[in-house]
Amino acid sequence: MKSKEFFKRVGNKCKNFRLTRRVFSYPYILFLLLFVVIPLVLVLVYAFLDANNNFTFGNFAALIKDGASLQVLLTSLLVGVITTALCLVLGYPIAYILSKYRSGKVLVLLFVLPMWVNFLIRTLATKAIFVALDIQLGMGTVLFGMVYNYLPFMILPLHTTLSNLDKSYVEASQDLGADKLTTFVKTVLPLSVPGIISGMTMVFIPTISTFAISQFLSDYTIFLFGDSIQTKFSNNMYGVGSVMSLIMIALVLLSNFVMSKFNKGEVTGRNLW
Amino acid sequence: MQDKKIIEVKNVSKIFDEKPAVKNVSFAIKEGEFVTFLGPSGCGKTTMLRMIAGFEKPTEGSIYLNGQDITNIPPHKRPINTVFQKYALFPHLNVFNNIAFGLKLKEIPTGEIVTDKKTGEQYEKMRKLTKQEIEEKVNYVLKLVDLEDYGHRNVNSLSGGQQQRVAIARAIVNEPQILLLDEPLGALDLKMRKDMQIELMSMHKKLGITFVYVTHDQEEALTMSDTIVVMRGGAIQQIGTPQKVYDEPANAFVADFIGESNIFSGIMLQDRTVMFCEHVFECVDAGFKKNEPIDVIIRPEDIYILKGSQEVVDKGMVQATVTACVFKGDHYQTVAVIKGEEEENEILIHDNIECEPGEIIGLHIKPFDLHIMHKARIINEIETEMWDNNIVEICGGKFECNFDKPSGTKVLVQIDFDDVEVCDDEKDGVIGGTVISSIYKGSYYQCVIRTDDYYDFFVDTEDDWLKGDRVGLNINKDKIIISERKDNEE
Repeated sequence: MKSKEFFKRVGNKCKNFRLTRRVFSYPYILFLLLFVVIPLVLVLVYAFLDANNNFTFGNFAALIKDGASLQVLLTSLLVGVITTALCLVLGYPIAYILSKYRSGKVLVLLFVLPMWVNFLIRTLATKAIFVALDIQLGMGTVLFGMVYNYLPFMILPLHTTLSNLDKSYVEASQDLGADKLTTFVKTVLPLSVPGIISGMTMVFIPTISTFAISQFLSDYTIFLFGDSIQTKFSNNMYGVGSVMSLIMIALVLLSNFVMSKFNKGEVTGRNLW
Repeated sequence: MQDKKIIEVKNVSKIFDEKPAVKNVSFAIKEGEFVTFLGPSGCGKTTMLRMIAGFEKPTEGSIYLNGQDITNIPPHKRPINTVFQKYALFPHLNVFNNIAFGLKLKEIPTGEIVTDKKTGEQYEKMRKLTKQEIEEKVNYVLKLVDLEDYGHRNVNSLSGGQQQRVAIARAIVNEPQILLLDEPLGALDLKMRKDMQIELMSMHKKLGITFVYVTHDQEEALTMSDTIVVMRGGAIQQIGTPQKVYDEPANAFVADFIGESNIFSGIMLQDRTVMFCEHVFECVDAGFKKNEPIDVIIRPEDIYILKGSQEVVDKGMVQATVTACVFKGDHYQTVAVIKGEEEENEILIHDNIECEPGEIIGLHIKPFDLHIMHKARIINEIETEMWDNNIVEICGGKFECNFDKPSGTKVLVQIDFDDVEVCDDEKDGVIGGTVISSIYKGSYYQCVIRTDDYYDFFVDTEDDWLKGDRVGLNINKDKIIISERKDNEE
């Protein structure tokens, strides 16, 4: 009886099946479940399991006791902040100049072009150049590599914001008595805040979570958080690795939250908050 | 009103990428005046305003403010403020800070005279406005524009009309000598626009500063201005009071653009006698050449309908057959046809008499209401060269003609208005052009078609061509009047 009913229901479903817009989202939802949600749940589970698959808080304790890991976390944050600041300082003037000229689009393409090359190849090439020039690999070279890799992510959103800026704001400011510098400080800069925020988000978050760049460009002397997680997992320390991953996720969410707070009042807020 | 000139524009031209936007324009604005630049879009009125504001530099000519040349002074140093078309209120500042923007940058003399120790030059010490002064001024203008409690509001939370007021407040708080307004009411609905018109006028009276206003709305211009400057194609067509521009339009374009009008081609038989629509009328104009071709303009409200018995109809100067009659609230709009032996002319009448289609009516026009104007041009004339024997170059195109002179011969080409053929598809014509204007003249349309090298062809056609459309031009080879010319200048 039961099976009959079941088949009837399925039959009905098939009969009523219609290719609605919603149907098109099913493949992606499936993908999301398999490769995003389940791995995240696994990370969460592993964080509370010891080597014998028993429930434990030991992984957290191990991490806190392990001074080296905390040191790595601090270094990562520091590298993230410095890289973001350098990208902003370098990227803003470039984006500003590019947005002022018609030929800007071609130049933007030139700046973005390196992104089309795999980042490992780029980083190894950079390392080769440093070695050839006999430059000591260390913090300086790591920062250089980070800035080199993530500068386009700063320039692109800034360029978009600046070139979409209504010219009449600049004219209104001049009309009200502001010279070029004042106009920039009082109108262009505040109006480009959404671009600055999204540029900072796009640089800071990948920087603190990336791996490989710091290893290659410091000759394995500087480990960042991303590298550290990778080492933990490859050494079968799934528990501690998962805890570190959780901390990473928390950091990303936190920075996203902080940035969106800065960005309040703008309609562009497409991030989580 | 004082007669002191505050702005003087002398022979100003502006060219954008080889396209002239303003052509050799000169005029003066008196202090305290409300001046309106009126014209269809693309006539150069906004460019003119932007040159006064300083956002554009004239390609040629100069602009004087109180007798001083300000052509090369940047906008932030001019005592002129602008209300922008889309307001351009800063979205990152609230209403108060938007208005205070200019005040915070302003420096005023303290009255204290200081001598520079090194150079010995004397100058007045300057200071910024205090917070309290700024607050007082901002609150004063907020009150002036009726937005007293809106200081803390975000500008994006305001309605269009309120944003408009903030934009005006932000400009006038700086006490400029001249306030420029670039189609400021364009984005508002009709009711709001009417209210703002009256408010702007009373504000102009209260503040006593010079207003320069740009609009394409003729009614707005007639309502608000002391002086109207009518522009077309980068050139000034007429400058005058609203009454003068309406009652005595300088040419057919002005008449057509401002208010509704009937425009007919006619001939001036002698002083005070004109012939059009195959009838002879008495008029008040004199000083034309005998039998000179002219344009006659009659406002629809200046035509009186005589209807009823045959006797009454016969009293009219001319008879017409009604084709349509529509009630418009305060009058009936009647369209009638004056039938002649060779031509039929349509005439538009505003009167408070209702007519039936098909009815024959008499029309009466007072001599004073016939406005007679020189024709801008009676024939298209182009100075050019022969391309080859029997082929002449006109505006970049090669036209066949009956003139057997070798290539390079300098010639003068004349083509009558109705000998230019217009075709829909640009490719079907020998040369292409853009329709600049199309004016109905009772029985035909007179179009101005601008070729790609900026020659304006006057063309009489049966069809109404859409402004801005691309069309092709053809000329029958028998209709090209051609003569050799000799350069006396060289």
